[in-house]
Amino acid sequence: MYPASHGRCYVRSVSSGWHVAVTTIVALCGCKAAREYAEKRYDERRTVEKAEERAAEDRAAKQEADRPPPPKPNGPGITAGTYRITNIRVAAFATTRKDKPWDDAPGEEPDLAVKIRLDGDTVGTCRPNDNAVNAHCTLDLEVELRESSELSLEVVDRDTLVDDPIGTATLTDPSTWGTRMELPMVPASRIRSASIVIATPPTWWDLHRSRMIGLCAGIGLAISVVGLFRRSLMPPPPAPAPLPRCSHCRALLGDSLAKCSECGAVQKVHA
Amino acid sequence: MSKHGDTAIWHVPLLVLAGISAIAGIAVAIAVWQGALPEPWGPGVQWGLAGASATFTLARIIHARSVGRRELELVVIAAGVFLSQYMLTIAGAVIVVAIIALVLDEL
Repeated sequence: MYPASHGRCYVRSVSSGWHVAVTTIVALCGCKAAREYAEKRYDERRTVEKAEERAAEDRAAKQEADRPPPPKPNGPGITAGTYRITNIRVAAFATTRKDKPWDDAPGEEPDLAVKIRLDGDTVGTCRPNDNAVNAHCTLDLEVELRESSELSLEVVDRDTLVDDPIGTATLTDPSTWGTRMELPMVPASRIRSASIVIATPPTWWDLHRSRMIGLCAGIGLAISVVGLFRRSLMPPPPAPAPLPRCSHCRALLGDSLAKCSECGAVQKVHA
Repeated sequence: MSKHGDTAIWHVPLLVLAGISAIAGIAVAIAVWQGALPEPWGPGVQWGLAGASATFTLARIIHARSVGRRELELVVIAAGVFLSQYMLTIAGAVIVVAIIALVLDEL
């Protein structure tokens, strides 16, 4: 509501399009009457707006109360140690507590940002896609958990100047948690539902599984190729050329027989 | 024309297979480095090709009557492809030097 002037008569602005009415009243009844009229209209309007806001907040409270309670995690429990947060899912209500869209059109849905807190300390953030009430983050966030740890998510709607808080979700009692399973969190405020997945830290095999499988497959394939095409890939070494023999006496031409003309002498020796 | 004639690397089928596997392995290693082939497939294929190259070279070394520098160079290339996942700069340098040595030996 902004003050509006009509000549020298300053009156409270109530709504667009009311200037004609005020100008007419100023002209016909004077400034005082116009002021009284404007104050009256302003009060009426504020009353209506407050009633609308209260009704919207009541509807939001009912909506939040009707939200089904999340199932309790049914994991075997975790021991203190290092774990990884691998997945986060958050679903927010489509409107604010005043039943208004989170952002101005176009793109009225919120631009979610999730802060991950462990025992109150921020350990990571997740920024899924803009303009969506459902957020899903895939992470690889290493955290140190204790038997009494509490994980919580703080969800806001990212805005240019100031972020609008949307709500929180918490997960307590690690004795009911488990790894590689969706752990439902208890939502609050304008969060419809939230869940988190934690996993044990990767083992050597987890880290190198694809490489080892690839390596074994490559070596196996190569051995198969070598085995199947052994003859063409690994031809036997060529046999040494037969030693020259004399065609007359079939004696080897070598140290004992330098020329075939010596065949007779060889035969004599053999005889 | 190779000065080695019929003894050049491309006349030894096992070394040809080892060389082709190594070249494909280098290509995949570069693709993995650039993020074109994500986990887990990229490194798996890379290690598979490096393993195949090393196996072909090893088969050649076992079968050959004499082992020359080119067998050793192919082993170095395969090892470079293996290690490029962890020591990119060093492995890249090893691969480049081994390829240059191999080409110079064969031409």
